[in-house]
Amino acid sequence: MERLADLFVEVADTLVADFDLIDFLQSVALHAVEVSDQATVGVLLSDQAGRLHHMGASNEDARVLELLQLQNDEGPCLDCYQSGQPVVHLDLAEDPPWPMFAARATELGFVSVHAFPLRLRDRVIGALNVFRPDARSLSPEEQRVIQALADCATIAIIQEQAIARAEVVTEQLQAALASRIVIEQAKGAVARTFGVSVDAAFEMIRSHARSTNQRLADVAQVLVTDHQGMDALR
Amino acid sequence: MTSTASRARELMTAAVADPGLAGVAAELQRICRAAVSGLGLLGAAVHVMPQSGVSGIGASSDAHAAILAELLTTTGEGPGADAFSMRRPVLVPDLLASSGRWPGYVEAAARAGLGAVWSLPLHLGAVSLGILDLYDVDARSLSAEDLGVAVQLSRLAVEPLLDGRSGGHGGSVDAGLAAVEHFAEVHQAQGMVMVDLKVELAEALVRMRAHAFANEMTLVELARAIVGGTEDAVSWDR
Repeated sequence: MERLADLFVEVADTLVADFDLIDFLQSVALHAVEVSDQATVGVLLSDQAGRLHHMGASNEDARVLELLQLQNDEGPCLDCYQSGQPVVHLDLAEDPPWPMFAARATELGFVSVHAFPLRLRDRVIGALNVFRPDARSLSPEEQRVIQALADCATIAIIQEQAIARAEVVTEQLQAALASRIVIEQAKGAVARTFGVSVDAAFEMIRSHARSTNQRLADVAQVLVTDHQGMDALR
Repeated sequence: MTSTASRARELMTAAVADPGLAGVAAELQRICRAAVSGLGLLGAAVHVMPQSGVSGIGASSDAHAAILAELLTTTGEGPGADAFSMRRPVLVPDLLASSGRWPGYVEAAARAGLGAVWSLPLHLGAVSLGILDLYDVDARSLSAEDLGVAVQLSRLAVEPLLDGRSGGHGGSVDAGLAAVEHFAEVHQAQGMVMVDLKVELAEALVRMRAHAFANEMTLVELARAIVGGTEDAVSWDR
């Protein structure tokens, strides 16, 4: 309960201007793991063309990102995004509706998957994925809490939800997608500059952003466009 | 949902540039004209920012739109300036209501007969090249579908601009940059190549595309090899 309280404080913060959407979505993923112990959680947002983009994950391991991206072809998130309804599959080894996705997920040790829609009224903007290493279904209560997390994420993205004009939604989504690309570019540059893994590079960028109270994307932007940018991480 | 992408492509196919134009300039003018015909606009223009490293390239749907695009330069502010610096769309369905945000621009734009301006950044992550400005006489909102088409058209403009920057072709066996944008590896590899070759971020992508093309790989395959450590940009020929 206490952790949930933390989350709602964080959500309230997002209603204040100038919050970091990417960092927030990563927090949503981490909170979802607290609800469903041992799970791996990813958040995907759709662009204007209906393509799903990874926005935040509880574990930024490259293989997890690949599993999220793979779902532009087939997978629970794609189905969930297209139908606007939750999707549950408890045994990926047993007759999965998405053979390619299931094979890769099984290789990575995942047994079950849940997908929750990021939806506001009839508009679906993405999906939240929960991968588990066992065949346990989330309890109705866990499902409600995780759907509430997905709803919070949706509201954070469509901040002016009461007047969710198409213009506002487009501005927010495109900004989020662009931020994520800058962060990936910076992960690559930092990984090479310091000879570390891409995951470790992400941690360096994130901890610098947090300790200097900057947005992830702003830190990332300086890292890849300013010749002295990397000095900040030394 | 993918219909916005296919509608943008259809509009592009139908759009024709002035006979005197060729290459990047013609491509950009077709994008402007596709937006005008598809969304029923007064005009559209691609404005390339001097700091982007691209020079002498710009485009507009017609001469009037070119004059409207100049308002950004003459007043030094406006939706386009913000879209560029903030790297996000700045969509202003009612320009007069935004006079507090850009007093000089709104005054000049209103005099020129503008009611609404939609500015979309032309960029790939941290690489910012310019903006696509859409203009209309009346203050009005675009539908979500039309905004989707506008975003798709803005994506199509990034590729010719990158090619223009490199002064040549960026050749690739991919369907196009817009098709690989959701692959994290492409962006990570771009950052790696930037460091390995000690070049700017935009140049890193141009080099990756050229290398992929020359070796008959897709950009995504090359990116995976770079991130996975089996391909090293340092060994590439200049």
